[in-house]
Amino acid sequence: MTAILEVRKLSAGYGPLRVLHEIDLAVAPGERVGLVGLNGHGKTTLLRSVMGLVDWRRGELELDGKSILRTPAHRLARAGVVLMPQGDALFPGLSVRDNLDSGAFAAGWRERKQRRDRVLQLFPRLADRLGQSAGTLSGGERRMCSLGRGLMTNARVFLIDEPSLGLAPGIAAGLFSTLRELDLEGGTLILAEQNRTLLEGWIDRIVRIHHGQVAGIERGSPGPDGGPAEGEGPETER
Amino acid sequence: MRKPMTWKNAADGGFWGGSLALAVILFFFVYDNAVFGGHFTIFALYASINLMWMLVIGTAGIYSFATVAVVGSCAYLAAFISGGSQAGQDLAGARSLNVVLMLLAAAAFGAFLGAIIAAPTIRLRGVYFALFTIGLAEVARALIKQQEFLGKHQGLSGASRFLKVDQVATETGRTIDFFIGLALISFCLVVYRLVDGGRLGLLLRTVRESEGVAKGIGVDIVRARFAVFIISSAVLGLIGGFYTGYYGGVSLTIFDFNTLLLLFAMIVVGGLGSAKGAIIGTALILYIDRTYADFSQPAWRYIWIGILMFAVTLGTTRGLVGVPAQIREWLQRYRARKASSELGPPAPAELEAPGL
Amino acid sequence: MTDVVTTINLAAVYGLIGVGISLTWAGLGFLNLAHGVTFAAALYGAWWTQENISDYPGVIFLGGVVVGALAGAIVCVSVFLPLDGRPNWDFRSIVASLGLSIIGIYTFFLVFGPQRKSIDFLFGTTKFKLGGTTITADKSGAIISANVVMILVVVALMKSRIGLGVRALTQNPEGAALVGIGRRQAAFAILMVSGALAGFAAVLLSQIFYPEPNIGYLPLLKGLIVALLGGLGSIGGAVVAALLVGGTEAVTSHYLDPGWILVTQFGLIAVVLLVRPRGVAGILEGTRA
Repeated sequence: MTAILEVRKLSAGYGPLRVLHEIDLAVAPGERVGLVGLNGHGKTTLLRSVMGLVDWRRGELELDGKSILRTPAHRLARAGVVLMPQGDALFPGLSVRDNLDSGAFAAGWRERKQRRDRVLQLFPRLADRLGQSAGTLSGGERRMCSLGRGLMTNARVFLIDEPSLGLAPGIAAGLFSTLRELDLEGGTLILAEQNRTLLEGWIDRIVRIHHGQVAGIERGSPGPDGGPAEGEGPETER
Repeated sequence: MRKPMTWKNAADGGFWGGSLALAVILFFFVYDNAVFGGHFTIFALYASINLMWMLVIGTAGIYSFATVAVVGSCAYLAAFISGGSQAGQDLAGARSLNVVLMLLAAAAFGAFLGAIIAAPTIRLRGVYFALFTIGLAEVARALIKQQEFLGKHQGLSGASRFLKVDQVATETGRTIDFFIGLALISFCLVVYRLVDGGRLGLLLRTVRESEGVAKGIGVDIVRARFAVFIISSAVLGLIGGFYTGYYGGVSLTIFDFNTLLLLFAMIVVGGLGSAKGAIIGTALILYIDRTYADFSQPAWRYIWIGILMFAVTLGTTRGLVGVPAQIREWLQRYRARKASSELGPPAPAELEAPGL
Repeated sequence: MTDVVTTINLAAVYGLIGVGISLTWAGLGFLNLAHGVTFAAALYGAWWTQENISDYPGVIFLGGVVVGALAGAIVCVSVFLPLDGRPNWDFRSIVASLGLSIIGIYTFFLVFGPQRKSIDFLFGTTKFKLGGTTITADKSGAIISANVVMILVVVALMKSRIGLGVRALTQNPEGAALVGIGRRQAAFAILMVSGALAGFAAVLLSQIFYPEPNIGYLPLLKGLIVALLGGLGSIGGAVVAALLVGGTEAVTSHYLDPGWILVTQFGLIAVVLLVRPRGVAGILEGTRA
């Protein structure tokens, strides 16, 4: 198996603070990886390091075998890696339609419409809100808009950071059922999520991050009988 | 409380002592007093203005551009109440005023103006406030220009001045002027030190860094801002009075935008946030200004100043005065990079901020 | 009636300059004080084109616009790119642009001399009457073309791909990077387009503002007023602000004295900003600062 994304001995941090310590991770095409672990231990930093949004990083980072350590975030975005960050990073003054379209802003208008229709099928709530400005959306709708925008980019590597954060359980569950149905088309998905139960049953591999290092890897099971392996206790925190 | 003897403090002492010695030597031994005297007067006025401006822009972090307007307005007030008029005669001594009283009046008017300028800071921030103050300067100029009794285009002359009539343009007169200038700068340095190094300065810096935190620990932000404006403007008013005292009058050229630009170049080149920066910047820019002033092509003067401004801004983080610290940081980084293994984070200053 | 015509004339031109400053500031966080010298450069470019290439108005316009865009590119390369991301960069970039401005103005002094040059009437010299006042072809031509360009700019911003990119950048720089909008590339686009707009405005105003070294100061000031009054990045705000500024100018010079123009304009700013510190945009959105 040739990995789409390969992370080797990655250390990264902000200013004088080192958050990640020599992380190794390889993600195969079609694979769904979940990152779990306590707050502040590096899940978000790992995703952001891949994207190039941290102060500094050391080690090796490769996309399809080519190093992306020197690639700035916006160029990486065009190369097919998309981050749906915590906080959504939406454009509050622009309409929902404009927010979605910005994800595909390099594509022609026909292609853009096609992608938008697909996204609206996944998130029908947004269809009613197309003309509204994104700043006036509810928390759940904002999350849908951010995910939708990410899906408009036709990326191959999806990095999603804590999509259930700040959402009521019902809405989070609804969001996840949509994510489960996502056709990666040979791409890959790395999802950081505090609430481990939301990952049960559809994630291929669960990577536990503890104090900036990989502390354990489990086979998630895409079947109904998922559960932690190797006698590890519950480590998630609400 | 004695300051500890560190390299920095020794260097500081050397700087100030050396500058003082230099000024005295230049005046008495190197230059023809007539030439240098005139330059020194301007230097004294500009350096003093910049020291006060430094308190507002540097310590308090408020972008006010009303400095020249305050100085000019107070100079006009000083000239007017001490008997200056368009015609230039001392009106039969009727309103001739003791110089000290004139200075005090100017300072008081300055404090009053300071309060007026401080008021909008409650609502306006950053560049909006800057534009507001530039506007104030324009308004001041337009208002003064229209008034008959303020001399319109010719300005006022015949006001009280430091020198008696028979002392002007003599060696004695110039020496008196020199020491008056020295006294002015020293006074401003003391004020700067007291404010910046004292409690008010600490409060202002806290507010500058983070208003939220300051409010949280109970700092009265409005009062602190009013305080710094009133104090600095009072001294600016005093400087305006000194201007009149030196030249016996004032005209609209004091409100020239070019003057404001020149002063701004001085504090930027010297470096915001320190008295040394104000002095160094003023001296350097003024030197260039005066050196090229006699050329047949006056444009070069400003081109060089523009280039200096541009180069210093691009090359230094905190102006010329911050260069030693910058070099030190760079050396630290360089040594850390040579010694670093693959494991540790890079030294603090090496920040590649990709994408942000 | 002349007041109305003058207002619209000035408003359209100030709007073109103000929009450039506003977008640069909102999209890049950079207050471009070199915009004034860009204006001057464009005027000289137009004049030089007239003297050395062709008398044809369209070519003269092109000369001004091209030089304006080039000046924008120079600002990008010499001020924005070197400082972006460095410590204290927002203050330093303003100061650097000011320094560049000074260098530019006095270089013009050296190269072209202090006397003003003149540019021929671009729309011909005919006059016609409308509602009891005489309007020159020049003025009406200026009004119409400025408004047309302004509308084009707004349309491009709202509908085009690049416009979407610029608007996204003004709203959330990180989000923009995540969808592939590069800040540095956008900087070139924004600065060159605002330079071109300033160039266009300069040529339109060439009958009032002649090519001379210091000519950029007032347009810069007016542009800053419009941008600040309108609120950062708000095109609607800039348009309204331009009308207010132009109107104040027309009314002041008619009823008072031209010397009072800046006074009344600053009075206007003071009133608006003290009521709504975020400018007209704050009023439009009905929000407080």
